[in-house]
Amino acid sequence: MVLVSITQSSANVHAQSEKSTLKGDLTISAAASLTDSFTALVRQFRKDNKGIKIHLNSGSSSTLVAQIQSGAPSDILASADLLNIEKLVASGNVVVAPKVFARNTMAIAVKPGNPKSVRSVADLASLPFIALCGKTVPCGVYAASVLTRAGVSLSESKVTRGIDVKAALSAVANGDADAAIVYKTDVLAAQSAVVGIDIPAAQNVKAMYGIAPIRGSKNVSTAKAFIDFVLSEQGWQILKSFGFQRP
Amino acid sequence: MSLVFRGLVRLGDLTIESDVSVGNEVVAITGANGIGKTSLLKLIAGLISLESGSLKMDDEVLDDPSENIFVPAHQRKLAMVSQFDDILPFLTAQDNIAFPLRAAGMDRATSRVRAIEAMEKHGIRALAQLKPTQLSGGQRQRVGLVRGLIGESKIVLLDEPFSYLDESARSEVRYWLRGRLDELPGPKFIVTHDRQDVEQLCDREIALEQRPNQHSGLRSVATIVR
Amino acid sequence: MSARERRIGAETPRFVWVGALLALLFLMLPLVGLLKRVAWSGVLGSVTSGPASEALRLSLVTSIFATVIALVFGLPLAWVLARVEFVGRSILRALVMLPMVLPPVVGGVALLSAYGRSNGLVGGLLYDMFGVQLTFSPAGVVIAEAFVALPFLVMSVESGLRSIDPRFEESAATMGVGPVRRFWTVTLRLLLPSLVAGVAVAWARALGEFGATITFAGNIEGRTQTTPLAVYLLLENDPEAAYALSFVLLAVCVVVLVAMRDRWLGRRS
Repeated sequence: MVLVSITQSSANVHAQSEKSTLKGDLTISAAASLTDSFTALVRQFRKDNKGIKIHLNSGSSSTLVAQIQSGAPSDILASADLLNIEKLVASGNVVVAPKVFARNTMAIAVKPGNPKSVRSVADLASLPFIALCGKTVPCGVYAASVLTRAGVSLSESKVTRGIDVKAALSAVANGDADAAIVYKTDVLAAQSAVVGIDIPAAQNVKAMYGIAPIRGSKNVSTAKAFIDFVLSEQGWQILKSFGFQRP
Repeated sequence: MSLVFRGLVRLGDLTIESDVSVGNEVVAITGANGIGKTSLLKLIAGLISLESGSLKMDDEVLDDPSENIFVPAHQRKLAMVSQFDDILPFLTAQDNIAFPLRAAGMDRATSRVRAIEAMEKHGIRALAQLKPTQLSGGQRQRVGLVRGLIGESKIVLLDEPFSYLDESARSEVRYWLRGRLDELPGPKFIVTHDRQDVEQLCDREIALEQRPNQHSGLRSVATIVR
Repeated sequence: MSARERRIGAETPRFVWVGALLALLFLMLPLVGLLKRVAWSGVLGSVTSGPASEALRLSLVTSIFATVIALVFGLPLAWVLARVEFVGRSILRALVMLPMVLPPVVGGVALLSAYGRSNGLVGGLLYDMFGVQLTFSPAGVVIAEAFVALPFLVMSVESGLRSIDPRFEESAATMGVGPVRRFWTVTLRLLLPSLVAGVAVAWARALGEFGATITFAGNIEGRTQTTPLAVYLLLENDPEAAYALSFVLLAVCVVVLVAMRDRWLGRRS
């Protein structure tokens, strides 16, 4: 009889933890390169927390930071670099130490079939039009690093700058750009729309993705729960499935 | 010169038939409102075309559907003064009157001189530099009349030319008109309601009368009554 | 009509006043807000140097070219729509108006599918046969701007043509003026107010075009980065320059609109 009651009580505890008490609305500002992975993360999180509504706000990390600094209500920022989160720390919008939750690298995206036979960063110099992100957008900064490390300089008149990494990719997938320097995860996400060319580690960068709750959030506990979820093993498995690397 | 007009046109519900022959004379066109007097003028002018029959000026066929001949209005050497104000709003009275002369190829300076002369003869010299918006309805009508009659036209078509004029102006303009019409060769048509116009200006009269119609709609037939 | 006369319809119920005032506030507040944000001392400097001045120059040149194209091709189209009767005319008219209501980015995607080098119906041919690439070029900007501006011109001119009383052209015909000369000396003169209004709207639309431009012509500094694109990008990095540029665009539009006042209503000056 004692055994039975112990089993019963542990079963009760188990049932209680499954029924989440978290409620409310959460707004997550996530970098464009996180669109697909965060959609999946949000979906999983909502399965376990049915009382929560989540709005995913995508854009380039620099745009998102500007929005938050001018008062846009957001509970969490997931940024494609640490620099942008630091901007929020400096402006007082983030008061908790940001956590690095994933790592990414850059890759070259070209049209299916690689018609211009691009094999390396150096080949980009001979193409008529390349797509990059805006100069101050994280993926634009990373791309500039890659070009510098590869010793390649591109004339600005050949570069079309997308407002975020999805736009840069789209210029190759749907438009007339011959190549783009985007995140490796974006090449994977685009599937058959583009072909990816790897950039060797010597020329490549480590893009460190950071996440932090925003000060003034109306849902502090829910925000914390989500961030914990992203940092958890389950969250990491989801990120890994989209091509991200361990930080 | 003679104008032979024998034919039929259908405009919506209205059917107009005619079988007239007119020489160098002033002909009144009379009839009830809505019976097709203006349409008859437009037919002669070439703004509408016949459905059947023919319109001949001397030996030149102007309109004959069976032969596929239609001479458009701008090639018919005529003068038409409409019932409604169609003075070009963006030109002065003088330039309006000079317009047909310019269209015929005259240079601007000469055409303006001719226009002033014509305005002088008609007694409206003072209106020369005014724009249509600055003129009364009657003044615009008189400008239109001078403009219509300034060229050397073979056919003259006037549609209720005194409608905006008061009685004293009417007699004055009627007098001027008789003189001007006498100077012009060719047939001249005046649509009018006023019996005085008919008596003082016209040699002949064509009346448009309603006739029984097998089909629906109005059937107007033009007949010479004088 | 004297000031003392009262006309039916001239008495305004209070709720109409309130509605009108709210509407006015709704429209004017953003403009006032923008004016407040401009750092007046640095305005000239911001717009005469660097990417801002390049963007302004590019916008000016491309929008003028686009407006000329809209005029040259829009006038005949408006004529046909207004004067020629044929089966399916109203459907054609609706289709011509499409770029006006289409979301600009959608317009850009549509342009890519026609004139893009890679997937375009015509663009591929152009490139293979003549080596001409319209995307990522100032010509591409002109095309995107003309695409969105043309319907405005057509609409204004068509409505102008329809409102011209035929009696003026008829009377000119009876005076011996042939069709071509009639068009130039009578029709065009009567059409002038609608034509000017159409050109002004088309130009303003071309100047402000963003979505189709960035999608079709891309965003290349000095080549295809027009003023609206530059404002969008500068907003993050150099807000002062962004506000200054916005103010310049706003000022240009205000000048055009004020110059065109009353002509929207078809009243002659």
